[in-house]
Amino acid sequence: MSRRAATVGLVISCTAGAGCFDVRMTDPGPPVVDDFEDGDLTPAMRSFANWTCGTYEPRGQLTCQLVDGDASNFGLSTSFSIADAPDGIQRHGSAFVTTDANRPVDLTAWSAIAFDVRVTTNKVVPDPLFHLDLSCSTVPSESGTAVVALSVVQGIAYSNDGWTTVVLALSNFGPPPWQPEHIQGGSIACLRAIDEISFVWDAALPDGESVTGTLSIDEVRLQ
Amino acid sequence: MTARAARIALLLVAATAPACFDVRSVDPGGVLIDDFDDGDFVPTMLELDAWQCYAFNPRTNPNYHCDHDEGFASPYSLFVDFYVEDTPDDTQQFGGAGLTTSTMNGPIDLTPYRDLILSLRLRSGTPAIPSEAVVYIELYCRTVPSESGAAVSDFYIVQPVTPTGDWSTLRLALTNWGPPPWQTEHIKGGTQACLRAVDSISISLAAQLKDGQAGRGTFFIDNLRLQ
Repeated sequence: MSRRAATVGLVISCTAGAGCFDVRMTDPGPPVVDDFEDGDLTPAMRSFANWTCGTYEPRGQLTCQLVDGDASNFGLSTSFSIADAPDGIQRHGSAFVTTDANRPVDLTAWSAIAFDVRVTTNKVVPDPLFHLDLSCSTVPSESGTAVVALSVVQGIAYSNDGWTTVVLALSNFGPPPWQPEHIQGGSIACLRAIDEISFVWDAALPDGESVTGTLSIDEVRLQ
Repeated sequence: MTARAARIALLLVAATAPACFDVRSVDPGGVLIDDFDDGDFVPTMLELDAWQCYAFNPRTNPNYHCDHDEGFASPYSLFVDFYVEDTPDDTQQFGGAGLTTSTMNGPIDLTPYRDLILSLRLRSGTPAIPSEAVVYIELYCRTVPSESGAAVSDFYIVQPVTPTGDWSTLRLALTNWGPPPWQTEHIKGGTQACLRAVDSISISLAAQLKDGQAGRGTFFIDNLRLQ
């Protein structure tokens, strides 16, 4: 057999012979919603659109910035100023960072969502309420009434001293007490069709008071 | 074989043969918690202790009492009549009043049921209760541990409803209860773990008063059942 014939034979046997593959399962690791290490506002999880920042009560836009992360190059941060009008009602002015999905994402394959958070303020706020909201705008309400976005939420405990790593079990998300319309199928139906993730820091300011500060997040992962 | 021997053989076969059971899950049917038509404060559901009423924010508010009145197409309902003031201090206290019953012999498992059904109405007094008033239906599970291991004695899950001036009947799916976001210690096992170990049912009317306002009202409940 000439050298050329041997080479052709080898090529044929490689292309036509039975292949051998390592078919053992590989753990892909926890899915990263975003760790911001690529230095942009586009989440690592491609179903989600760019992060945006803003305020509720009143509704407004804030600038999202990439800053030093929690022991990493980048985290996402926004600076806010919240004022409560002196009218006898606590408006629950809030700052938020959020990302919308371009299609509903089923989170029920995971057991928890983990992230790092940091909140700094120019003064002590007596009773703030920090929560993670998972919205499911395509899920109908029980009554059939059109609702802008039903959601499930969970409170976040955090330290006033730098970054806090938080792990929230998905089994502890539930409809918020301020949502009088009820989710058809309950919390699990919402978790199957999440189209927005929002970190909301509600200053719960006393009537007529104001506060400024920053809200930062990093390492948002499902696990 | 004699008749006696045949009977013994049949008995032996019956006693030693593999048994057959229908293992399909069985709908537990509905359970009446209370319709109040016996005119007392003892719930119909045997596991529950007598109904009590309370005021909150502040708990020290003495201006409330509970009793029976005409029900929703029935002889009796249970009501709490209350007067609540919000202290003028730039903070809304979100005060109100409610009705509660606790289990007598340990927690009860509500997960075999799908819905809590009840009728309610709010009769606003003078000064009026704001139209923003909310009813929180709270299921407490005080024996369930926290995720962190920290001692927490007042875990509960909640579902809000909007009260109406006329009687309304609500069917509330148990899947729509959840921990309130101000509860930053979390329930080990989540909402399901709480539903498996409920030790009291509280129905609280939060008057949603503005800072410094006062309100008076009577809040009625009737025909509570699990289904």
